Amino acid sequence: MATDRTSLQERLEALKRAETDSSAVLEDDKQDFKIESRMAQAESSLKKEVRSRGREEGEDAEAPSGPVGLDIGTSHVIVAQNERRYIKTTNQLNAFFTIPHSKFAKDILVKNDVFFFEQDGMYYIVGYSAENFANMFDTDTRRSIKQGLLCSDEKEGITVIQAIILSLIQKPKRFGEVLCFGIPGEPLDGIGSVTYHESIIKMFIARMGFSPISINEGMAVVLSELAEHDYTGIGISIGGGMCNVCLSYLSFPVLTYSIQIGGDYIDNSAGAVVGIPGTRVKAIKEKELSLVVKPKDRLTTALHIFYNELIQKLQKSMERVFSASNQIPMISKPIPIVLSGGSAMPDGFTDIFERSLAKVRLPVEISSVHLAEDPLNTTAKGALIMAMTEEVAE
Amino acid sequence: MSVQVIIYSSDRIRGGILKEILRRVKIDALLLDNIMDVKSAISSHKPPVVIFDTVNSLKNEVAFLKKISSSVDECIVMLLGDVSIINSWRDHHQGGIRNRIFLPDPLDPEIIISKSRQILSDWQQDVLIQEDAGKEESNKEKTDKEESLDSVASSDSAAADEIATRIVNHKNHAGDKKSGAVDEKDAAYEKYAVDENYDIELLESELRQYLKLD
Repeated sequence: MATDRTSLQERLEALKRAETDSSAVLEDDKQDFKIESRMAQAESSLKKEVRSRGREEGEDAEAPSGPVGLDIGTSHVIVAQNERRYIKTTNQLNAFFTIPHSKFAKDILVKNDVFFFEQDGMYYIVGYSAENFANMFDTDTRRSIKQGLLCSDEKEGITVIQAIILSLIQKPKRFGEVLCFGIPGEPLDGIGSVTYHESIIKMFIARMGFSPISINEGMAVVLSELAEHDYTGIGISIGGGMCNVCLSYLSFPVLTYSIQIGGDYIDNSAGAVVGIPGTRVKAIKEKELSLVVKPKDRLTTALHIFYNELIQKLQKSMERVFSASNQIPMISKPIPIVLSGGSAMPDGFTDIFERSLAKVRLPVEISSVHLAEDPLNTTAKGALIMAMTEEVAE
Repeated sequence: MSVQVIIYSSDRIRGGILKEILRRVKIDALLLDNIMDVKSAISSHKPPVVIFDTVNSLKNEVAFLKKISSSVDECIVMLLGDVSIINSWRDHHQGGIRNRIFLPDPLDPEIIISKSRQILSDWQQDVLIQEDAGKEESNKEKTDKEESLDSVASSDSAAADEIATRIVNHKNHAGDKKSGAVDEKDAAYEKYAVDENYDIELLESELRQYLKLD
């Protein structure tokens, strides 16, 4: 994480001082209002409502005029910006679909405002449009990111991810605007390189005119959700490709890691069992899966089974990693766990997680398990907060 | 204000936590991750507490820290890290570990805070005692000086009186035309008697001037 040694708390206090200075000036001028400092903005943005929407076809990307938070997940790319009264997030599906080059196909794509680009004699349809095409052809979309990291077996991966980011944001209005993006923790199984993934994205974002910084995805969850706990607790992001875990103490990411299992694993495993594509399973899962009610058919039964497997693997990994670590400080009070990410959203997930937590032994006591306020946008919001405080530190 | 605690840690997170927990209890700390910076910081200012976190440090760095710690007897050195390093340090300091606190892992923020607070409060008291002792000393010096000035003043007034008398006598003997020489002597005496800071030579010359003898 690019925070060096300055703690978040220190940065926030620097902002508070700036606010005090501003107040003093206003007092001199005998004005009875207060300028909202960036500190206040960063803190108040924790309480702001998040207004989220998908990028619409034919819609132009926005040129940001302030710090930006960016979550580059396996299944979605989400941009968060701080508006006056709310946090605005815009998301795009991180998927693509290719069709061969032809004038007729191009006309259709242009006419329907489909988001695509042309490369090596192929049309690359990206984002939500790709999902529509995949469903139409009853097949799966392709991913530029697999299991949380830039995909090595899709040579177009970098181009696609760049196109997706460009569909959401343009060059900033002010050169050098801070953009903070989430990066995964080192995978326990060691597949893929976080350093490579981070560097490639950083280079691209810097070329766009931003000052890029990165934050561990689990840490972003902590920043977004655990302010009331002094940023002490465990943040877990359960995404499409992986689960990211961060144990934070007073805003310092003491322990971070990831396991490469997530929503895609559940979709593909369940899909393989019942013989339908993972993309279709995903759509059904997002629409109607509840882990509270008993499974009603083969697909929901399979989904229940693989969800349980994911929870068990995640908790077992926490037991192993936390117990083996000598990094964890003595924490006198029990700490909370906050769950986020699209795969943590099905009804009943948090309760199952909490119940099965009793079966593992962790070296820290857990006070509560709760689901983030807006699980899909938590990482992007945390990255935005980081970007806002980083801008002040500069 | 100069820092109360110097922290060395080559582990960014542990170092950050150490600084943060002290900051939260309003203890001003400087965090360094380079042993040469530690050396130069300590040589320019010896804080009451020095914390050496040896986690992730190289063997040579630990050896260097041992060396530095021997040169800061006036500071309390808190040593954190793996138990094996702590033990080797303990052996190194056998017989002279009065100012060393050994805190093997896991990192315990509460103990570090309580120890630091205790040391700083003791240190503050020492400073106050030293200040009191200094004040007493300076009060005593002041009293002595005043007494000595009083005695000088008194002997000086006598001398001035004598000089004035002699000068006036001299004037009379010289057949000065001026009358009321005794009044002039009194005036001169009155002028200088109120001033504690005169010296006799100055008095003589000024008296001469006053009496227009020069």
